[in-house]
Amino acid sequence: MRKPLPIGVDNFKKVIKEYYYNDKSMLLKELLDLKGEVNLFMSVPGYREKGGYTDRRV
Amino acid sequence: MVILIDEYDVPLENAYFRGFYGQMVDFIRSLFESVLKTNVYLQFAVITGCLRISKESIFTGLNHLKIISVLDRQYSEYFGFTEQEVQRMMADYGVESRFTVMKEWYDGYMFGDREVYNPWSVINYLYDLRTNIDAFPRPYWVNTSSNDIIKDMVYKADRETKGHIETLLEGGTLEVPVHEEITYEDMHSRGGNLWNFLYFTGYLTKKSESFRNSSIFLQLRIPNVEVKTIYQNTIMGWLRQTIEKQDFRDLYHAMEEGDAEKMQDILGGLLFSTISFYDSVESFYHGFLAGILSQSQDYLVKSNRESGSGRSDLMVKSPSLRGRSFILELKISEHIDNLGKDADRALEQIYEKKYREKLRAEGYRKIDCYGISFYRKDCEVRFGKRLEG
Repeated sequence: MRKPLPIGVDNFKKVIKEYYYNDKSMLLKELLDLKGEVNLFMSVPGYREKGGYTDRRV
Repeated sequence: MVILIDEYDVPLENAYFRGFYGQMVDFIRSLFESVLKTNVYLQFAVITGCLRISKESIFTGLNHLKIISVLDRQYSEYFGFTEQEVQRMMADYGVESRFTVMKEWYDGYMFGDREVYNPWSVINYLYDLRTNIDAFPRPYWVNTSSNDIIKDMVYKADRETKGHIETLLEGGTLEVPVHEEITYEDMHSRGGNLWNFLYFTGYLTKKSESFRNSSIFLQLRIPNVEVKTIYQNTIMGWLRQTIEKQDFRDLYHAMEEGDAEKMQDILGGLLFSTISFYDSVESFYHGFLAGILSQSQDYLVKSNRESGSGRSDLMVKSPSLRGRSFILELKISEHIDNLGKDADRALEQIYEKKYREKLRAEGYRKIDCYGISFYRKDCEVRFGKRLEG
């Protein structure tokens, strides 16, 4: 049985223990190596789960 | 000290809609200054947000700020799932047979020069597929806060804008110069801003880019089916409302001036944007015209659909008997070539059945009439003889 998908779960500890995830941790190393002190990521709002799918949140 | 600030723009957005944007900008600027600029303990900071507020207003003096946007090449996989990642996830859940649908619906974002999938939608569709492998795809990306902004902008859009959106919906592209810095306040001021905003908020993605006259130009397109459904379901609906509001004033103006040609243009434009061919039954056109005309506060619209009532299809009357009144008779043509003949026939019916005389009996003195014929999305308008005195 596959681990469940972490929809609406934002507790990191819980996610890595109990849920399925796609590990992108090494991107952080890349970012740290660049030595940029303040990094501003301009993302896309459709990617936010906020307000996007409330009926599955408890 | 490591500082992580997620969605720095959300308070700004809320403040913008609640009328204290200026104060919120001041607050966040001074917060960022003390935390990110003059803070000797700071080693590393990551801030995320969607809309870039111009540097002058928020990031004053943050010289060491590194901005990573959807335009940057090397960070594409930070913003979403790559195709390999999506394939692996689907295989892990045993739903890889639905890959084509996944790609069609949720792929298509070009960040830098790589395509990525919308991660939020991928996870949600995966969730649905896991319980039912035949689950239909649907737009999971709805009701984000930026929809409010887009709604606001689209309400102010004109016909040209709508034409561009139609081009995009048909799979076409649109070329615009990039303005990377948009503030909430100047969002409405420059023409290209709507497209830039749609691009930076993910409603459009780039197909290619070019550089000329010292500016970057982007060829923009709708990224995938998911986003296309958002345009169809919401944006086009808002547009329609906006245009109808603009047009009914013009339509009344043309009707008062006796400008049949102008009326025909406006009605033709509205028919083009509002109906499909399935709608071309008589009652539809009647309701369509009555609906537009009844938006006026200056006239009363009386609609008679029952045949043999001895009244015209539509009567438009000013509340005062000294004001103007109009009779409109509608005909549905069976062929495009009959439009002219049928519009004339409508006028003749007005004269023969003495519709004008009935209005005069009510007390009106300035009575004009129009015969209008429809065939699918075309129409013809004829201005009739006035009955005066």
